[in-house]
Amino acid sequence: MHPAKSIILFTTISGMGYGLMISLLIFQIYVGHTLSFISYFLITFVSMILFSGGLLSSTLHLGHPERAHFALTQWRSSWLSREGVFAILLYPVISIYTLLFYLNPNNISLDPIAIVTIFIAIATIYSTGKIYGSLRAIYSWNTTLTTFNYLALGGLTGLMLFQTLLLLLGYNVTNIYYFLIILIILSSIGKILFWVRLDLNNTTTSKSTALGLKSQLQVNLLESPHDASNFLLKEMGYTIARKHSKKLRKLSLLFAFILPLVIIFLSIALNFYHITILAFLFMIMGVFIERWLFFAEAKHSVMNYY
Amino acid sequence: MTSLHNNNKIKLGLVIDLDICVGCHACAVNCKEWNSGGHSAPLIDLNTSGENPDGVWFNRVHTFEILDEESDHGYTLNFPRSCLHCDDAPCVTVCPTGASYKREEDGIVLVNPDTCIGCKLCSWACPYGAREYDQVEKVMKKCTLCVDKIYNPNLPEESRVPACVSACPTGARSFGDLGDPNSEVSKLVDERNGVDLMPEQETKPVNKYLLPKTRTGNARNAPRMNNFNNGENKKLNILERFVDRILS
Repeated sequence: MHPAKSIILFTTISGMGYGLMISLLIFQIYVGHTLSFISYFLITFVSMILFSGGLLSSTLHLGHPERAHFALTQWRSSWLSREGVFAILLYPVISIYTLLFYLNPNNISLDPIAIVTIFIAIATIYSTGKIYGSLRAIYSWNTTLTTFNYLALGGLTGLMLFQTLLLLLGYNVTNIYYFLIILIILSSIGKILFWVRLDLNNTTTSKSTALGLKSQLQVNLLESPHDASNFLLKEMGYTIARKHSKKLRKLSLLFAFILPLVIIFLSIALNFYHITILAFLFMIMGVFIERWLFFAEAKHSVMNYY
Repeated sequence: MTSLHNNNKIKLGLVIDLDICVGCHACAVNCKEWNSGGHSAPLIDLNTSGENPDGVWFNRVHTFEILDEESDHGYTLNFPRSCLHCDDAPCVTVCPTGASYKREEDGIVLVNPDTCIGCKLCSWACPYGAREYDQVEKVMKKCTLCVDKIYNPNLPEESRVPACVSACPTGARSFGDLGDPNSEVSKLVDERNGVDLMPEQETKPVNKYLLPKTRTGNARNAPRMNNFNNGENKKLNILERFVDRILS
């Protein structure tokens, strides 16, 4: 599949934004409201910038962005529509939470609202994963591992950013490191399983089934219907990544998981927590490579005709 | 509504006979011609005489060479590929706006160009590549089964079939109601054991394909022209071998 920059940016940036919001609100519930309102507001603001920027970037890649509101109507059947509905729903809920927190940090109704917000944020990332995970035509994506990866990486990058922001704001919560380590391990296992499944290529769709023929026949394309490229080949016939996929996978594992893990251990061991920021920067690079590969490595069933 | 209703009794569709398709592309060309002025008009063409021409087509004819290694039998397969108007159309259910829909009255899958936002997700969901993005109008386009032709009262009745069916010179394309087991097309499918494309994708295509009939002989071992340049050809009789030796 063609790796469109707008979708790569949207899925990584907005996933991180939702992850940051989830991390912040779990922190608020778990630790009590120890953050100053200004710190809370700054983190919420960063989170909203991230997922709103992501949403905007994905809207701009549409042919008709001015009709985007139609996309909220088909939530009964379409995961893309559901994603839009959840994404929009998050704004009023987080606004109410922020207002109540500003008025009275000890308000007893804060925690239930936080839980609702967390659920909506998780549902949004889940829907994003499902948009891809539910496409049977793309073997690489058609697995629950896709949704798992979107949730895990959204949570991980969000928590990583949360820890970075806390450090920058002068808070040092070392307990977060343990959750980061657990999330890094879970995410990397999920991603490795995703690639193992991809390499097994256990799909029943083949050139033979595409033509309705018996499977023992050897099928070769003799003449293409067109001698120039077309929409299908440009959108779904992307092959450059597959050539370098093994190297890029290693790079992505190194930057997204291994280097951040090493840096986290170092920062705990050396009591020098500010190098965590470096871990965050490496992780972002790794996740961008991961997301680029997610698209570029995916093979669409229509390519059986080409 | 992009939810599927799954209760349409009439299922209009095509039956394509791969045994007699000669790969002339007439179906694709006539489709392009009709639909350039029809329901989904215009069907764009870009850079037609330049280096990288591009354009939207609803029907594309691929040609394959098929080799049965077991019997060492090979043949050419011409394969027209277009929308199959699936009963379980994944392109319809993924549409976030409701622009993509399957008609309840006859099962035709269409796109409403006024509400399509051009997100291209339907083109990803379709396993067959039946949908193509129009980069000028910025909406998705697809085969309409010539919805503006098959019901057109201004046309003589025999012309009320999709443009691809009208154009086919060998009669490889038939049009009819595949939901009615007694229709001509359904009988044809029964008789020839018509198949679904990629049945494992569980899209339940309405269009059926009829596979090439099994050849009785083996084309690879079929009698060929004698090669007289080869003097050792065993098929020559004594006199022919004698003349061959004198002359060579």
